[in-house]
Amino acid sequence: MPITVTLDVMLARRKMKSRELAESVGITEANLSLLKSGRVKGVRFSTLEAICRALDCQPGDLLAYEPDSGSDE
Amino acid sequence: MSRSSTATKRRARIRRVSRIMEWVLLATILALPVLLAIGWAMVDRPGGDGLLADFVSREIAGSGPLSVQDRVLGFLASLVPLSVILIGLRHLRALFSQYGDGRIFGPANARHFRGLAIALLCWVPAQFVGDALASLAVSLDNAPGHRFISLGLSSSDLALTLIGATVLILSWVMVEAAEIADDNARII
Repeated sequence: MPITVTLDVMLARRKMKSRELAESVGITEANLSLLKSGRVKGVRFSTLEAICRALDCQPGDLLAYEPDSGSDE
Repeated sequence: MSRSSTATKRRARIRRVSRIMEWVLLATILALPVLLAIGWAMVDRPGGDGLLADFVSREIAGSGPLSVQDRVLGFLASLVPLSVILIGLRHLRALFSQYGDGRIFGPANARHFRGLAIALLCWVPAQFVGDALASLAVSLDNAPGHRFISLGLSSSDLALTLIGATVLILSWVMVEAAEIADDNARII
């Protein structure tokens, strides 16, 4: 998928552990792991808001758009 | 009261009542064949007051008592609709088991809904065949020319078919619901 989640980069910048973020956001570590690996269909605004609040960042700091190499028409 | 706590209470109620229904249905599944066997064993004479007396009417069977062979054949004939009912109840119990485990929407639920619908739709023809065979069984000892096959359909059969068709459509809706629930589960 062209949308990638760059949450692990933000976590490293803020020197925060996944467990701390999961507790702060109110989701399970398993779900946070799925989110970090991009194996989810979507992110709720409420989850995004909680992550941005915990990491003091913008939604754009957590997501990136990388076009597929074969879809450049 | 918050929306999430209301939803939690609602789900807890579904689980609790479903567990009760699961046990009630298990008891029913176990009891039905036994009750049917007792029913055929207790039919004292055609037109009598025992269980199944309405079915084994004087018009169908002769005036004498039913032989063991008549009772066994009658019981076996009654197993035709009963087996369909038991299959339907088994699907219903499995459905409540899913609810009891907290799985409200899922592919297994849709499958059990479909099984229940098919059982409901097959109930009417199975009852038709079972009644015909049972009437033949109880009149088998009659003199030639006095043996009967009872064939009948009632308004409740039509209602049962409509309910079966409705549950079948609901099973298709449940497939859609399972897909939506799966999508929802993959949104964090």
